[in-house]
Amino acid sequence: MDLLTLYPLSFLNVFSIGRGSLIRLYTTMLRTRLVDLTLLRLHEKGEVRKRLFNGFGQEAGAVAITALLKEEDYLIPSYRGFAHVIGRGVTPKEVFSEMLSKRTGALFGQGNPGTFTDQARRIYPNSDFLGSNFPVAVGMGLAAKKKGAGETVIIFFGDGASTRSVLFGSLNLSVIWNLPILWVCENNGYSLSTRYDAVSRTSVAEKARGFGIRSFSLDGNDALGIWRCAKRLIADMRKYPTPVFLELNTFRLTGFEATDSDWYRDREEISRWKRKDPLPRLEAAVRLFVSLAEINEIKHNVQREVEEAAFGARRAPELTEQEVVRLFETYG
Amino acid sequence: MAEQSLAFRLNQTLHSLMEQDDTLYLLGQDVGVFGGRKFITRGLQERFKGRILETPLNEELMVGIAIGMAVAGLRPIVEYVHGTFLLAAANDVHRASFLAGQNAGFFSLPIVMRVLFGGGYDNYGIELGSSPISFFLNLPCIAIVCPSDGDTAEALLRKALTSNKPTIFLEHRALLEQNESLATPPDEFAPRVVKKGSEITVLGYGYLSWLGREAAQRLVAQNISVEVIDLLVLQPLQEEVILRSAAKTNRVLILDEEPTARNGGLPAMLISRILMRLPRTKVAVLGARDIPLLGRFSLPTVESITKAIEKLYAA
Repeated sequence: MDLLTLYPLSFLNVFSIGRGSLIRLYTTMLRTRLVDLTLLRLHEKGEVRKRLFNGFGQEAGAVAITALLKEEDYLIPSYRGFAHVIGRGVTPKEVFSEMLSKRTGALFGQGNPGTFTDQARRIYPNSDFLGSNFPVAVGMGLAAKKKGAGETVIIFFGDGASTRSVLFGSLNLSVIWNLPILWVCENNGYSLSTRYDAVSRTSVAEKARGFGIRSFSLDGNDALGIWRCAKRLIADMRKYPTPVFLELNTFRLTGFEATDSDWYRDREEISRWKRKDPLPRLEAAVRLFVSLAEINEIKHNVQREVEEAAFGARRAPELTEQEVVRLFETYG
Repeated sequence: MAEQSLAFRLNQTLHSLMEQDDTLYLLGQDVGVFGGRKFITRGLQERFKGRILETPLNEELMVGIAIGMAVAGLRPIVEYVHGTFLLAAANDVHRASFLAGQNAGFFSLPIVMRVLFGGGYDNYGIELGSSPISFFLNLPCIAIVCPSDGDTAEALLRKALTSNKPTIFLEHRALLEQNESLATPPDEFAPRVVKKGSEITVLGYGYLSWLGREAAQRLVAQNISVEVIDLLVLQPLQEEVILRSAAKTNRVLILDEEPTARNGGLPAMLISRILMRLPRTKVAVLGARDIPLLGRFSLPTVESITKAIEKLYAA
């Protein structure tokens, strides 16, 4: 791959990040991709009984932005992929445990797909009824603002959820109340089979801008570009609470869910986006600082880490029906 | 606002609790300078800076916002000006009923949804005045309470504001200016007998308890002994007082503001609870008429309640 012909301007971002952070970003994205691939394989074997929403191709935004979070920030992930939570520090073993419905999972294996609620890491449940977390973000923003300690709320959602009317009421409130919320729309162009451009005349960022919110539309597969932009925005938000809207233009390199053969999308479009896969792109940037031998060592280590995590998680037991009922009765 | 009216007692309770607990926040339309509907929130905004938030017409968002605030450690109160507005946030009320438990108790949802309802008795018509009770009856974890006078309003609001679970706190519009007590303040938060009797049991809540009691008093002249029970806490329902009365009288008339006499809702729930234990009880329901209007021809009145009691007595 010829680095300079592919992404000329965005490579300038490499020089703003620093070697250590760059390697960490790459390692996180690689870890995410391997966890995702492993889950797909386990789903095919019938070991993952939950619905599986792979995030292939969409990792850049989540990895870049979660790398910028502090302990006290609130994260509301989307349902697709595991980059948000892995970027936030959830280990591969924890992801496997919950997705394999094991009792060692965050919600004892009983959570909805892609839900890794974690009080310590301030990860809140992704919503099943897409869009129902928009006012929740506003509520968290109010609490964050009250504390006045520079906490921010980061919420990820897709272009499908962006067509919920409750987004716009929530955006409006975040503006008039000056709430420290980073609204991140991962626009992958499709809400299952519905094309975004069939149901909208303008970009999501432009709609948000109409409410008076600072909005940016970015290349969603450029981890470094997103990192650089988000770093500046989040630093500002910590000083002067204000909402910001980021639209990340990306693409899902997979069906809607693991059982979806993706027959309704154009093969040419999928091929085109495969060539823009954020992982090799980020690897190319890392190669400016790191030798091939080192990269291979990183790959080898992460691969082994993920394999061991899967092995450990697969051996754990599941809750029995009586245990589930008894446990969740106490929570009721 | 008359001294010691129900609305005034609510206002005083809010002042008192918000002073003690600085995580209590209140959101709604016109809750600031205007002082909220019937001035229930008067004076709060000046006193508790930044904790009284006026929202635009965003009823569909308010419960979701409350969920977010609660998850992040605050205790939100949201004011709904009419019962039917709570329906706009129905999916979030549904979420509030399971979210904390589903997420293994990692957070709690101490949310109070104050809902001014009963607008059918207050000339607001069907779109605003319909009672929303039956829409929320089957949700786990959500308490539904309806005080019937100042004493119960204060006590139930205190309980709601210190609870760790969501509450729908119903404020009946026809009672907000009521100064008198319906009965002596109860010891516990459960259905209470507000008039003792031996031949017919009447179950009511909110304004209906007052109407039921008045009808019962009129029937003393006809030697019909009516026992009136004021439900106070609709959910979770405690059956003891109701069953004891039904066992004694064998005849139960249920009053309701919804036109669900034949189909479902609160009357059906009460009937099923009673008949499962006391299958030979004679039951009757007086709800709203089954017409798309809510007004003086639709809702139970003292006269229609009196007639319904007489009919049940003769059955």
